[in-house]
Amino acid sequence: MSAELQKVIEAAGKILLGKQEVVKLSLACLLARGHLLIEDLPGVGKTTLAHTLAHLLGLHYQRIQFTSDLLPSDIIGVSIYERDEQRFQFHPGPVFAQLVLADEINRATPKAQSALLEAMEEHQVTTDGQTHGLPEPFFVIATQNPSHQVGTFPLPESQLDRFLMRIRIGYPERVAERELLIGEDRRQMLLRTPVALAGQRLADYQQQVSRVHVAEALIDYCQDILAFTRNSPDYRYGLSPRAGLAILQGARAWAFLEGRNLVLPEDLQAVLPATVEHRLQTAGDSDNGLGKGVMTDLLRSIPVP
Amino acid sequence: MKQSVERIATPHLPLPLSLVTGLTLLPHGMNLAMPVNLYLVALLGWRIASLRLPRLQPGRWLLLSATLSGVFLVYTQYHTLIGRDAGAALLAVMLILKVMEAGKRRDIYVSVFISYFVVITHFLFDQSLLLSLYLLLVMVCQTALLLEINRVKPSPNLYQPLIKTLLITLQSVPIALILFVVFPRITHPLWNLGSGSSAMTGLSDRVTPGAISQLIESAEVAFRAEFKQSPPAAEQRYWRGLVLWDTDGYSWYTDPERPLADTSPKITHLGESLAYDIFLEPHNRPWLYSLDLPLKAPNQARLSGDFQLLMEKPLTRPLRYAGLSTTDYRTPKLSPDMRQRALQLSGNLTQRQRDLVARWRASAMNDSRLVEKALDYFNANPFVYTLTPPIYNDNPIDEFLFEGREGFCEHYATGFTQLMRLAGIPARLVLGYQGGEYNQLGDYFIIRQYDAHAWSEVWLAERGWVRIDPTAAVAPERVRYSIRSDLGEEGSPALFRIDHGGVVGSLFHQFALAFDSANVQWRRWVIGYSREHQFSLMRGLGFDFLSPAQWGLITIGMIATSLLVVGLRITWQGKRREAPIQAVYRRFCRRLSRLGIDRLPHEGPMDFATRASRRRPDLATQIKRITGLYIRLRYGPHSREADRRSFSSQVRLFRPPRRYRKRND
Repeated sequence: MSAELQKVIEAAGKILLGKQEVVKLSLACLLARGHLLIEDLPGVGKTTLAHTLAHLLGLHYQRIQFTSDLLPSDIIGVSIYERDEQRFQFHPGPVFAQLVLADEINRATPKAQSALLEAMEEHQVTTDGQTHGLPEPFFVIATQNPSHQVGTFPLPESQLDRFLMRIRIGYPERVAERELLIGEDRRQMLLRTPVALAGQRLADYQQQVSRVHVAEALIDYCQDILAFTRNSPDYRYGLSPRAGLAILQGARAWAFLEGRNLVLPEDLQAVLPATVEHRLQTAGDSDNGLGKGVMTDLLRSIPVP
Repeated sequence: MKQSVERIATPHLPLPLSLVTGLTLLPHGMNLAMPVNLYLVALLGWRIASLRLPRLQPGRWLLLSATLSGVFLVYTQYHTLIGRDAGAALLAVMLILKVMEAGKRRDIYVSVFISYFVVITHFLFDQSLLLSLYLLLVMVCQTALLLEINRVKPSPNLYQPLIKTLLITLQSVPIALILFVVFPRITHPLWNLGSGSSAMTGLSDRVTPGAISQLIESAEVAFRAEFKQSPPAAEQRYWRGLVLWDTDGYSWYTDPERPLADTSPKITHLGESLAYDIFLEPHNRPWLYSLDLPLKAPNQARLSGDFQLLMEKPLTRPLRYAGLSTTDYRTPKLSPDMRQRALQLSGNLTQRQRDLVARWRASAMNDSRLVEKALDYFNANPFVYTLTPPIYNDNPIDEFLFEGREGFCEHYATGFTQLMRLAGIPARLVLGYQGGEYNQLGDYFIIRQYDAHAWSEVWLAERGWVRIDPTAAVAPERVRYSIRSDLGEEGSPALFRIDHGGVVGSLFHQFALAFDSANVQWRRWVIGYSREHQFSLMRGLGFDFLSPAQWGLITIGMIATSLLVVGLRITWQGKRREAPIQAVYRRFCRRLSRLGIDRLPHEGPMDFATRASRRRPDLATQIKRITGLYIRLRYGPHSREADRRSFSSQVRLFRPPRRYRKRND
């Protein structure tokens, strides 16, 4: 792995104590050009993680706090009539940034959510018949509270599918938490941390990630996984081809972070829970969360080709 | 995949497994020895209790001793471990022991497969429709359990796997039907089905007073008869069994030392002949029953000179045969030795018998008038037909005729036969059944043990052998209705079955008849489907150019081919795109597996290498090198020939020592 990326992970690890794996997964997601959804209870560091990544990667970023009265124009921007020039002038909204932090995305109404989600999919926004391209690279890191919390509008499956990965942070371990409790304020610390990646470097890495080799055998493995979820009675419906692409893309990024230029089954297994958990529903329950055991069972059920 | 999935504990399955096992073993309650049954019940109860209270779960030593004691129990009960009874008991014991320790997926697999075998053993004891239906249900439960084992997550409810299994069962019905129809039948069963030690009821070959009235208490089915045309009236439905010629004054029998000359008798039949099928229950006797008088013997038996259908061996399995009889007949001349035997008298004649016969002889012009006089005698005097005759001791016939005058059919028949012989008219005793109940639903007659009857035959010069039923002279209802077996007080007149006691009784009776009818069809079409039926069906379908052996070979060949195709497909699917590199890698894994380090099917090569190196640090370098080459060859962009060769040779040279010796340096 390149020293720069190593530095990103280390620096982020200092801010989010004991969450190396989570940081690595998020970084893999961004390297795979995917949008990231962080789902967990309030106060475990979702926003901190998002901030840290944006800051360390040296991206121009904007934060949108989603609330129930947020309007699409608050995200996209608005056309205002300029008297001097006698025409409408488009004032870009916060979505025009390289990295958008959509905080508590499921607190907004579906209308506002879909404005962002459209931008994520198309990398452009359309307003008043005019299309405005978004900057490159363009990422969304969204955070959300678990859907059963009060005052949430759960994202529909079709929109969840647009996030390459969904990760959970979880409570810190006892030692890490202690350090956090007695240590410096994280926000202050972040401001002091130097930016790890200079301007164009992220795009270079993304290029390299897409060149990581995926062998036939791994495509078989990926297809076996897709087929298993489609045939097994345990899931309400199987994974989509888009999910298959996401798995492979995530595995490439993971392999790259591991310092390899070829993908191993282990890479695929490492990113599998994050890439498919939010796209699957067990047949029995309506809650769209899967237990950890289900993922383990899924992995155990499919032999490595 | 196999190993890892089988090792998963399945906490929700042992209870259903125990219940299904209980259902599977339930019918054996009637087949196995009582101590074995108690053992099974106790262990099953223990199992279910230990699921509730885990501390009751037996340890390894307790299980071992339970196993030993189970085998010992079976051995002491049957004095062997092989054969039908002991084998079935042993299998049941094994099943319950497997269930005792079943917690892992693999144990449950094994238990379900053993219980499939246990289902088969039930058919060695009983093949009735009811049991078959029950076992079908049990098999659905077993298969549902098997289905449930294979799920990653338990089903939300019990019905889902059951409904799915029912669908699978329905899908398999056509295949089962085809196999049933075309699969070659074995003429003789591989084992002797149904030769249990259970006592079979039926007529015996010796009549002593009171012998038949004992049978009357049994409502067991003796046989069923189905007429091909309209059946004869009740008064004509005499079912001939065996003929008794000899008497010692107390009982009647046919001396086995003096068999009749086996001349096929020529009958002149006046009326039309009646064709019918008989479904005879096993009665452990060598004779068959036929409508009086049989014209022809079925394939399984021969027709003797006195119109008995005799077989070589006692009947131990249900038999279906075709009969041909006539009720209006004339038998040919009597041979001298037959006449002599039909006039034999025992030494217990009394003066009053001689006087009675002499009185009849004096007033009768010929033999047939004399027979009428004798029947008048029974009719005019206060004879009572009863199921509970008094016990006649020294000279039963004489006491019955002149003192008791209360008797059952055998009293009347033996008394009458003896008087006829005294009068010089050749006479013999016939045993069989009379009447029978008509089952409208199946269009056949059910003849039960309580229809057992005895009557006489006398030889009249102008008509040949004539059937005379003295019982009918006393109680004409007997030949029209069946007897009710509620006996009443001693000597009370017998009651007859004219109705079936109210609406409920009648409904119940209808239901019983419907069930009997279904059972008959089951026997006929399923159990009775023999090799002969199969061949005649094949002939009907135009396959008559094949000999039975050829047909059998072709069927077996077809089945073997389809199994082979299915098997190969499964194998191919498992080995699809198997690259030679993988084969080499697999060899590497086998070498490590000999050291006790198994690669899990879902484990990637790096993870495996890491784990293996941790177990055997001495091999770490080699493992790392081989795994590195494998990864490059299998997952890398280009596979180079040099790498390939190096990989093969490294694996070939990889011969790790069994034990890990720490190096001292």
